[in-house]
Amino acid sequence: MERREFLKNSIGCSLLLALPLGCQQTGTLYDWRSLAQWTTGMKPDLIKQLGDYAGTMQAPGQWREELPVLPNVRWLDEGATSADEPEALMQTLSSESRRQFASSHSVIVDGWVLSRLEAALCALAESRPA
Amino acid sequence: MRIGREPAGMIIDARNSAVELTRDADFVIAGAGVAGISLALELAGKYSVILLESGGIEPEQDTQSLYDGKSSGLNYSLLGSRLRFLGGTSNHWGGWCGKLDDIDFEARDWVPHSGWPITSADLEPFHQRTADILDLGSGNFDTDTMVPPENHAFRISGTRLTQRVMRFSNPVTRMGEKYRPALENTAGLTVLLNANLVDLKLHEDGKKLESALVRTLNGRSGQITAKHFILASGGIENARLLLSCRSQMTQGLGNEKGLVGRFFMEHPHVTAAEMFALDENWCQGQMALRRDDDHWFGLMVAPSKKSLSEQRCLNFRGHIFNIECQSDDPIELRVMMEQAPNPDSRVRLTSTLDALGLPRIDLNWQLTALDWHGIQCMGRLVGEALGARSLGRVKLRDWVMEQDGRRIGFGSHHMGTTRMADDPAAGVVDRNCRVFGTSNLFVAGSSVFATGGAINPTFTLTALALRLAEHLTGLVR
Repeated sequence: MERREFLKNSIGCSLLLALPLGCQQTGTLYDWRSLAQWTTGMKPDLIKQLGDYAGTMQAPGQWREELPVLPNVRWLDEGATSADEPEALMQTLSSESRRQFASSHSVIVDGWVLSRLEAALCALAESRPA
Repeated sequence: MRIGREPAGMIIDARNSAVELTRDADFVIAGAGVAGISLALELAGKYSVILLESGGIEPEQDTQSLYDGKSSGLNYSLLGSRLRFLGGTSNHWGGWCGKLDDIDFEARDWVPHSGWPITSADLEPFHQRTADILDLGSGNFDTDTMVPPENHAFRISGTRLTQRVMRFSNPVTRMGEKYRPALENTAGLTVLLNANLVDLKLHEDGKKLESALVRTLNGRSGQITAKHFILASGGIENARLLLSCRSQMTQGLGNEKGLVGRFFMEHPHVTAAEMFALDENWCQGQMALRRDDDHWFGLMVAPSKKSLSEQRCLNFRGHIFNIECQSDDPIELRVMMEQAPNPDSRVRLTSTLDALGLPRIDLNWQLTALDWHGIQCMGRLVGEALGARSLGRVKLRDWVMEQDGRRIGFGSHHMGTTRMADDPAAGVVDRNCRVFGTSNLFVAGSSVFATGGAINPTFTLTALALRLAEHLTGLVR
């Protein structure tokens, strides 16, 4: 597996890969897959693998319910809207993920130790079309 | 015929027909490995000591094959994991030494059968002497005084991980080679080579041992009387000897509760996970072995006491020294795990006899669900620490998730088969290593470990041998 690459290439590239779906009153809409990439730093094929696996652990709806309350972020069926700029949103997601790791709010998905936020975003990314 | 005690120490070959095997001493110690030699040299000079060694100065095939047996559990090498000649298994050890954590001695409600009747503090007075015997330079294992936190190999302060010091014997102590001059020249000490303990005879009171029956592979035998008897033959062989002494006790010596040979523990050695670094420089220059005067030590990653109780994990040590984390490859996380005490993981006698007429053993080494949980928990704790610091991610290998026992390695660390307890219903020896139900039979070595922690056992078993020597000195005084 090309994990080293996923980590090396991820953060810088993923910003370019993000596909804002549109603008609403609360900000730009970001799809699940982009959010998963930003948070995990993983490449799309690995996101898919983990998302598929996470989907077998519990239903996407249950993962959806686990999403944390984050400042300036509103979870929607399609993904999330945020009033933040993409860089700030990435920081928010990354910070929340680190906080979850630090508080043992983690889960093992197909052997990978992920924060629950990461697992939820991967699962939701694979439960809906990008 | 009984001969007098040798005024000066000597090493003699029991196979030699000129050597009288019927003898008398204050102490008879069976096994000239790390524990046996340490104990003998502590007692000798003050008392008469006979140290029995099954092998000779060099390894011999027919003697080594006395270790052969069956392994019906997880894959194990009964012949390759121990050596049967002067110095015992120290003849091929790697010299790795560490101290058990305080929590390793404590009863943990999530680890059945955990808890020693002694604490870490009971062994502390023997640490420096142990370090001297094993050529460690120092008995200090306190990470914080040895390495300032800013120089720790993992930037993990504030996570659920901590670091522990591993010292290295330098030069690696081969007990037979290093201490041969002392064994030859210490007054009152006689080393009988090629002399195998095959039975222990009880007084009619059923508690006091009177003599040890010794046999050689060339057919010689003798009976040695003594005030005290100590088994120091290794974590598997100590149990085998007790179980084999059936001439007066049908279930074997010290086995009224059926516990002898149970609770066999190893340190499962696993390359269970891979680490993927986010920051290629995060460990640059920090993973190297370090020096403490003229001795080497390394840092190992370990769970904090709090995390063990919160996550109900088993203890572990991750090897992080001399890791190349600047390469593009994932970093293999090599870990030594604690094994939970398990009565079904055991040494049993078979109906097959060895060349001396002793039953060979069947080792059924087993892990429990708690052990597999411990391995996953280790991966989770390391993964959480790396994730919390944005250092990287951890992936447990597929075989860990599938609980494939064929991938479990071992460290040749044999522990637990004559475990220590305060209650005869829970162990084979008491806190002073005396076999329950006997008044003068003791056990030295890692077979008395109630739990094994996650560190190589040599340092602890040597400290225990010195503690036993002090106790025995008090008895004879």
